[in-house]
Amino acid sequence: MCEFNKGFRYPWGGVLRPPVRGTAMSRLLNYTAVDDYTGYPQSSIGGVELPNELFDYIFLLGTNGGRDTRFALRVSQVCRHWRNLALTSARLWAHIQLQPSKLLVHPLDTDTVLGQCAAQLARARGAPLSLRLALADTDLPAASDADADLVAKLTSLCLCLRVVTHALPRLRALELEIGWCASFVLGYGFARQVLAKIEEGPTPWLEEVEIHLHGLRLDRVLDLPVSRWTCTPKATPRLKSVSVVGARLDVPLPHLDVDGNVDADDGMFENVERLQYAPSRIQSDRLLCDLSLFPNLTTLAMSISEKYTVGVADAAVLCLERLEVLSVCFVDGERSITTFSRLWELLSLPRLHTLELDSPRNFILEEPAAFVACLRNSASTLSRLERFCISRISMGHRYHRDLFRAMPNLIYLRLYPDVMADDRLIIQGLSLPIDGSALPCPNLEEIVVGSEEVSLMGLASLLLVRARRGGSSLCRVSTPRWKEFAQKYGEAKSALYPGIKVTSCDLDSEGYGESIRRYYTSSLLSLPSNSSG
Amino acid sequence: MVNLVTSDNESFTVEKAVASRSVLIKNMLEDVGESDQPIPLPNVTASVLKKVLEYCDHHKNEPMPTSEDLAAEDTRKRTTDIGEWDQKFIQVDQEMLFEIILAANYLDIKPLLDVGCKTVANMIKGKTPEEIRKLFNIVNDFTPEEEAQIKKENEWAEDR
Repeated sequence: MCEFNKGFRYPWGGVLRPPVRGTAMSRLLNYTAVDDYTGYPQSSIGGVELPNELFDYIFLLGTNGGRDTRFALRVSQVCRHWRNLALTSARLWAHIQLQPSKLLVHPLDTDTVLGQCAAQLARARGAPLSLRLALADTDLPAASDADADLVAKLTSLCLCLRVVTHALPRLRALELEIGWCASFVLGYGFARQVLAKIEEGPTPWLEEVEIHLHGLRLDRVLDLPVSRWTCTPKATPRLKSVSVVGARLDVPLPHLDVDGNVDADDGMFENVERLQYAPSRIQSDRLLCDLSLFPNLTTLAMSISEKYTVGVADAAVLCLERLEVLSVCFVDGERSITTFSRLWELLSLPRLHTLELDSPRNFILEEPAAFVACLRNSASTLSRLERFCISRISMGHRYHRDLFRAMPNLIYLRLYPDVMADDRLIIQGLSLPIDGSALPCPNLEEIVVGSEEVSLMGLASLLLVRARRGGSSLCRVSTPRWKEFAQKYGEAKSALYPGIKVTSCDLDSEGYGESIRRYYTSSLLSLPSNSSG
Repeated sequence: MVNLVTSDNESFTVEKAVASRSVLIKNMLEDVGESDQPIPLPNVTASVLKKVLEYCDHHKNEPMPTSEDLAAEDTRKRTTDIGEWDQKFIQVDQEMLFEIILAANYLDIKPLLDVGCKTVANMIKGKTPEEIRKLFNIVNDFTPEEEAQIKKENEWAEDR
C-alpha cells in the first residue's frame, strides 16, 4: 500500500484529500477534478500576500503547462502551503512521462514505480492527460550483450504499461518514441506491447497522437503495423493531429470509387488537421486510400518511396479541399519521383499555398525535365503557391527557372540546404523578365539561398535588377555569405537596396516534414550497408 | 488623456492608449464615456503604478490579446520565455515584483501578468526546495517525518 493516500493535515485542520481505500491502481479513476482553493488561506511571499490562483499560475508556467513534473515536485516540497496548492492543481500533474529503461539502473521495484505513477494520475484527477513513453537509442544494450537477466527485467518493466491502460479514457495526447535500438528484439517487443495497450482503447478525448518508431524500419522482414488500433474515427472523435513515423497505419479504410468519391461507411477522421505519415512498410498499396481517411487536412507531411504504389482506380481523384501545406520527402531520391508523379496527378489541392520538397540525401535529378513537367501538370496548383521550398534536390538552372515561372504568386522561396545554385540560377531564374516584360515571381518577399556558389555580385545584381523592374516587395535575403555582403554592400550602397534585410540561413526554418527526413536519415545511417534504403 | 488616482492619492495623467492596456480601465472608460473624472485605483500605490504605466507605454502600439488568443494559449505548451526589454523592465526587488504581479492581475493586463509570473517561475526553476525557501524566505513547516515521506514518494519521479 502506498503512503500517499494518508493525506496531509494542515495547520488550519484541513486535509488535502480524503483518504481513499484500495490499491493505487483501483483509485485512479475515482477522483473528481476540481481545483478548489476555497478555505485555504493566502500566503505571503517576498513580503506580499499573493492570492492562491496566482501561485497556481506561476506553478503552471514553471511546469511548461504541466510538461515538467519535476518543477511541480520541487514546489510541492517547499512548505505545507505550497504543497497544498501544488497537489490541488490537477493540471500540474497531467503530463506523465515513462522511461522504463531508467529502472534497469534504479534500485526500485516495479510495484513502487507503479504506485508512484498511480499517485501522479491521482493528482491529475480529471484533467486531460498527456502521456509520453520513450525508449531511447542508448537505453538498451546490443542484442549480443543482452543476457537472460536483462531480458527478464525488461519484460517485467512492461508491467509499467498497465499505467497506459488506466490513462486511456482520459488521454488527450500520446507520444510513443522508440529510438534506433541496437537490440532490435527488445525494442520491437516493447513497442508491440505498448501498441497492444493502446489498441485496447477507447480514447474519446484523444487529440494528438505521435508514434515514432525510429528503429523499427526493417525493409526486408518485419514491420510494425498499428493494425488493431481502436483509433478509428468513431472511437477518437476529437483527434486533430496524427504523426505516424516508422509504423503503418492500418485501420479499417474506406475506398475510393472511380469518380473519386470516398465511401465513408467506416467513417473518416474528419477533425484531423495535421498528418505526418511515413509508413514503414516497403509497399503501401493504398497510399491514396490512407490519405482519403483525412478529408479535412490542412497540413500534410509524407514520405514517398518507389516501393509505394498509389493503388486506386485510374480515374479516381482525391480532393483535399482544405490542404494548405504539403511537405514531401523523397525517400529513394529520384526513384521516388514516379510514385510522386502518380500521386500529384491524382490529388486535387485547391487551397495549397505551401509546397516543400526534400530528401534524406542530396541528389541531382537525372531527368529534371520530367520532374518539372510532372509538377506543371497541375498548373493551377503551382500558380497559387505562395511558399516553395526545395532541399537536397538539385537540377539545372533552366528547370528552376521553368518552375519559378509557373509560380507567379510566390512570396517565399527557399533553396536550402544543399541545393546547387549559382549566379545563373538566381539571375536568370528570378531577374530576367518573362516574355520581355513581366518579372518572375513579382511578389517575392523573401529568398533563402544556401549555396556559396552564388557570388556577392550575383546577389547584388538580383536585388538591383528586381528593384529596377518593379519587384520592390523583396525585403529579406538569407545567404551563408551574409556578413561579406553586409560589409561590401550593406552601408555604403544601402541606397541601392533600401529596406532589404540580409541574414544568415537558418536551419530551424525547415518545415513540417523535417522529422520525417531525420527519421530516414538516421535509419539510413544505422542500417547495415547491405540493407535496402 | 486619462487621469488615474492611486491608493496613496497620487494622480497620473496618461494617454488613453496607454491606460487602455488595462482591460479594467478600458472597460471603465467605455462605461462612463467621455469624462474628465479621475479613475480611482484603490489597490495600486503610486510607485507600482509608475512601473505599470512604464510597461503599458512601451507596449501601447502592440495588438491587445484577443479572447481567441487566450483560449488558444490554454492548449499550447506554455513557456517561460521573456522578451529582452521585458526582462530588463522586471529587474526589480522581490517586493516590487510581486506588487507588479498583483497590480497586473487587478488591472487585468495579461501580458504584464505573464512577464511577472514567468519571472518568478524562472527564479524557482532548477532550485532545490531548500534553495527556494532561502530565496523567498519561506519557513519549512514540515516535520522531519513528513519531509522524509515526501522525499521517498518523489524519489523515482525526480530521477526522470
